[in-house]
Amino acid sequence: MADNFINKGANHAMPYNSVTYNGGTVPTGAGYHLVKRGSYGSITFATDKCIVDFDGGCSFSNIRITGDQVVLNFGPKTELSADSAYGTLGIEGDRNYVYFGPKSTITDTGSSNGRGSPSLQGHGIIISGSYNTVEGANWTVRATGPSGALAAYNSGGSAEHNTFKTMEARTVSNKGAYAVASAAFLSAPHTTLYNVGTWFGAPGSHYMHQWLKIGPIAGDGSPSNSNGNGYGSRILYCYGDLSGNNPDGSASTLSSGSSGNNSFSVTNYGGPQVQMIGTYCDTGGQNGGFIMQSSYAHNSNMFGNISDSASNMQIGTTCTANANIIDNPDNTNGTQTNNVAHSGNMTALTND
Amino acid sequence: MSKINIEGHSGLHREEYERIVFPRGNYAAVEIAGDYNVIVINAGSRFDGKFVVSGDYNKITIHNDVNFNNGILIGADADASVGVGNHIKCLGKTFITRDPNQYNDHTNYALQINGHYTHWEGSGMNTKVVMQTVASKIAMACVIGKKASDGASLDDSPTQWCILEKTQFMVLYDGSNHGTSKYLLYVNGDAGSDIACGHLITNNWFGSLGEYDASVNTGQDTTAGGGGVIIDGATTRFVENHVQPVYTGGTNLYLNGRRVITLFNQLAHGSSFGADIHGDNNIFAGNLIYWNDGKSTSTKPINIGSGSDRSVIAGNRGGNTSSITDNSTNSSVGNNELGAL
Repeated sequence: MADNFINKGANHAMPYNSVTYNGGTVPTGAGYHLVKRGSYGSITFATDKCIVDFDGGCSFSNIRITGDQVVLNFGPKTELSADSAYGTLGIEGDRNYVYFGPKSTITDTGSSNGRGSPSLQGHGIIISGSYNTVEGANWTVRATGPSGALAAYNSGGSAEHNTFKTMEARTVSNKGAYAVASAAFLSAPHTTLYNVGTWFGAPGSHYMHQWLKIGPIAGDGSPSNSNGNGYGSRILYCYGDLSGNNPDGSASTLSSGSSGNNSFSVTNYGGPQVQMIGTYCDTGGQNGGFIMQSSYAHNSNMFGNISDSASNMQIGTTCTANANIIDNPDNTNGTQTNNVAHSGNMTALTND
Repeated sequence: MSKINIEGHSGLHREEYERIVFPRGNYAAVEIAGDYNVIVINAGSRFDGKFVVSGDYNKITIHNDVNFNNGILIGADADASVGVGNHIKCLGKTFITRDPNQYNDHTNYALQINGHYTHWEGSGMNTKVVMQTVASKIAMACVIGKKASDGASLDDSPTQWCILEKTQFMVLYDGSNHGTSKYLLYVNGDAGSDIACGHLITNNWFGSLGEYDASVNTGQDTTAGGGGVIIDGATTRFVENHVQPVYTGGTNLYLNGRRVITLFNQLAHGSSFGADIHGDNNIFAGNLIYWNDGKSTSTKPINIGSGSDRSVIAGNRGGNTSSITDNSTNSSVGNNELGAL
């Protein structure tokens, strides 16, 4: 019997349909499967209702999910690394769930998209289906991509209601270009970014367009759903920190770009009816504030956020910004109440 | 043929990258010292010794009806770099407590979270972390942060980046003595409450389900001094929690850390403040502070201390009195509806 304890009888076995060991072929059919520690290459999950538990220490190149209701429960220190046309983890089906155990990495080793030429390639985790969730164990799970570490996008505009939860997202030094590089892209409608951390400024001569961006993945002409990309999306309890006290333990400089970039923002064809709530943005004194101002970002709301940045808070005429602590408001648009301007004197950040 | 599981046992586990299953049974003390394991604790298990996780990056799933009778320690008492990045997830009814007969003479905890990046995920109110009072001793249901408030000095390397969610925490009156003091949750930071800790504390219930009453019966929230939840750690998000009555013991939510974001909580209002805010750059918004008539009506629901600079207290509903005590500087205090609910 394979499915028992060492030196014990056949008891307490988990009710798996199959067990796969290093060198085997990961099952992709419907059922409940176990995959032991090993290296497994590229896999496509095309069959609905395939549920797989993985032990810690499994490695892959890229993984593509085209089926629906697939559950991949990865163990600790899972590694995905690839330059794939589908993204390193690409989810094209609906209602799938992927969990990554602690210290897992999902790394896209390719190049960023060209401006106006969006594709799934260049992203660590990209979702182009609907109702999917990707969740990390904690911020030791790291997604990396030269375009976006995380992205929800579909060229036909049909993807919606996807969630990224609890992981680190980072772009790549000396990669990226204007409008095509961000730690996370919320391009598909109703995307939720929950407790995602980002603390790498991708220093170098190329742009990191935004930290967390509600908007298209490759600028104008690359919409998920025409202008107004990512409408109804939410950035909840997220965390950006480029100061010396971030989890990397050292300060990180933002890549070059205009002061309009490097923000937690809805800009450049970003959608309406979006929210950012309970989020930190500590740039370590660099430019990179809160922006909800594009001609399409109407009826949006910022509530309960804190930013240290000298790049000020901007909102559109139909937006509201309440109970935020920011350097200064950049305009008087919309409804702005109970915000505190620390005016560069955010004393509490001295050791932050 | 290799096997898919290693059987869990009392004592030390040093395995790495393994799948360890604890079958239903009774266990003494357990220490998980290895890294990268997938660990399953089967339904009906009992741990009568302390359950310690000193290894890193393990995923531990606790199935239904599991008791930890002598507490859980994630990490080490004095080093936040031990027991890093573990995810502990409860699927069903889980009970974590301590044996009062084994309390030390100072401060006692049921759940100690000291390793960086720990993710403690309960299953809702079926996951209960409970301490009972003992005369002349301090009881805390949960502490985050090494060198907890047991008299040891804090340094500049606090525990950081943890998640605490979906769990109920209680310190209960044993029927004879309320003890020296109590906290339901104590979140430590550095000595100045300044360094960003980055915790997310959400969807928890702090306190028993007992209603507010002039008398306290066995099994209800104790009246010992201290308070409900105290947050010294800076840059912590405390959102969507519920803090029940803490009787006469103190403030329900005491915010001493800087840059703490406190949103969308329900806070009871005992004989002291519902929320007492002292850190700089705090946001306290969208909260409901409710009052029960069982206690004095003279205490205000929210107090903002003079040490708080550039904070936001807005959009809250506060019961009882019709004003907020505000001694802070450069803050925005407004759009709060106050008075009897």
